[in-house]
Amino acid sequence: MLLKEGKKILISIPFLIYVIVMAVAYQSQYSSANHEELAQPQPEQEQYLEYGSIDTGDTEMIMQGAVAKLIAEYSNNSYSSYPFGFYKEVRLNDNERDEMGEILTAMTGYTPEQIIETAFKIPYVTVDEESGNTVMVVPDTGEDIPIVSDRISYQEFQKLMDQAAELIGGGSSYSSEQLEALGRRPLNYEEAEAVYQQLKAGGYSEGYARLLCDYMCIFAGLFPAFISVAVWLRDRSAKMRDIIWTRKTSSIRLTFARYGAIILLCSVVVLVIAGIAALGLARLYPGDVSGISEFFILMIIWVIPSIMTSAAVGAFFTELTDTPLGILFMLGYWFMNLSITSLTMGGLNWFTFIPRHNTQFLADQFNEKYLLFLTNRFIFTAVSILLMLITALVLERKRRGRWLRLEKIGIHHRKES
Amino acid sequence: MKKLVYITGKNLKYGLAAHLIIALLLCLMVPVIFGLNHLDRNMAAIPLERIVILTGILIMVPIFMPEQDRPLFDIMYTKMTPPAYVYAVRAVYSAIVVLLIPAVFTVVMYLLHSAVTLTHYLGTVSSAFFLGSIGALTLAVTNNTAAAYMIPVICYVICLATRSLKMFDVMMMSHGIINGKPYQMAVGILLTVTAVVIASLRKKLF
Repeated sequence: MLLKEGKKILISIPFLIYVIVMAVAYQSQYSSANHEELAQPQPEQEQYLEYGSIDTGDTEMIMQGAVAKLIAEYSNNSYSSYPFGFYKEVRLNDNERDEMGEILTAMTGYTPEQIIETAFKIPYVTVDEESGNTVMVVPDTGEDIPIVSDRISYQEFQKLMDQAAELIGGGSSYSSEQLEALGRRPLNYEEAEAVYQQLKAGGYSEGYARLLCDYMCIFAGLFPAFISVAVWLRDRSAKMRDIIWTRKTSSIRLTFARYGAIILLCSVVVLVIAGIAALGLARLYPGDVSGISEFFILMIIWVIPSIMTSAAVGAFFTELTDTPLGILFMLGYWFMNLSITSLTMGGLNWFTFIPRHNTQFLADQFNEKYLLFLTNRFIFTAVSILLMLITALVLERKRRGRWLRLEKIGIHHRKES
Repeated sequence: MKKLVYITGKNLKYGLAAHLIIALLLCLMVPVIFGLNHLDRNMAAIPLERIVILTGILIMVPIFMPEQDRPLFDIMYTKMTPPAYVYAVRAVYSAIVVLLIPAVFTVVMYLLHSAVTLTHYLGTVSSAFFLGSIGALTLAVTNNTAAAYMIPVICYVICLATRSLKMFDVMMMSHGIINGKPYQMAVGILLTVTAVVIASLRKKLF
């Protein structure tokens, strides 16, 4: 039965589109890594942006950056927040504004009125007309921003900022994760050389396998839903129902044969891509690449659970509603996840649907989160199987005629009888 | 006239209502994800181009959906009214809905003091039409509902990630560009008409 379903899916239009999407995604997002050798950092280089950035943890820098931003936002009573990765303006009511004023007083020693009236030297971002680059400008005139560390410790500062973040709501700039970002800076030569050597020592394959999986998971997390919607929608017509539902095959077997065929075919596509990427890397760095199997292992652990989830969501909603609603649900879930997930493993949590690690570097950060990453993937695998069990249950009930009374066909049949 | 009212009424009830509810729910979700107040011109385009244009797909694809069921498709050809007439009626009321949803949304944003203009409205409608017509044409040609959603969603994802579709970038307004929007509208109308013609000739063509 798996083979039979597999054959049908293999020649279906949605699967063909899926193959094209994955191939184009690989070609456009990743393939350059197979053609251009990564250059070793040189001391005379002006900057080392391609090697990443580093969290300095410089508390002084974090505190001054955050308080300057908060003073500016408090004065205008307009706070920027990114609850789902997109800008949302928050305005506080009078009580909340008073509370925010107290927080700022504790950090700066200025009363709320003084904060509003004083012209501070608040840095702002603008576009340099000559170079066209985005630059940070500190005004020449005005009062210096009070040194927060003179008044309170970093722990006290964090507590106050937690209160500020709570007042503004989700996605504010003052959550602990966002505060850390204020202490981030680009790498210098020594640091860039160190990350380069680390990638080389790992035989390149680990870093590039992570990068490939990062890209592939984005697309493999969405498009299998379309394939399963197409497969399950085939049952919608009355004729198909008469043929399939009256067969002896159990609902579990039928559901999992279809699901298995989808997962198998979608997985083969990403594994072939993993093979192409692995061979490309081995050709680019002859003799230096170790363990190309990492591409396959990581692809199985990282990407296949997302394929499973996406296909399960599509199947479940189609079986339940007989409509392609699963596509919209999956698109919404995918869109929101992608918007709020940070680009590296640093922001991973249990329920991150599409884990990101958009760099071949930062192996330490990835390894640090590896256990959480495995747990996350296990959760999605388990949820997918559970969802498919429920899908089989729904099919079983429909075959027994339990839920047909709501449908036109059921009503029609009853009237006839 | 009586026939027109009858066909429109029945199709609105059985063909469009559920999809319209989903499209409206999608729009109601927007304030949860995006801020809609005090946005400047470019920022105001973001909720419109990220979410509201998707209503075009939700409304336009169902034009040819009822006939996915083969018995219904066969019955349609036993009637005096030509299928082209029914498809055209559906295409027209779907187009009206695609015009209305962004209108309401833009007015709400205007009342929330965002810098939306008539250009924002027309730009949103153009992209909604464009995406919706791609889906409708795909369904008319392939007779596969999932593919009909898949192709415009791919187009949407490409625009979300890159700016490679140039004139057909449905998110160009968020980058302060509008020159491609009239083309999107024109192509949208052309594709919808083509889809109606192909669907009407389905029995002869395929």
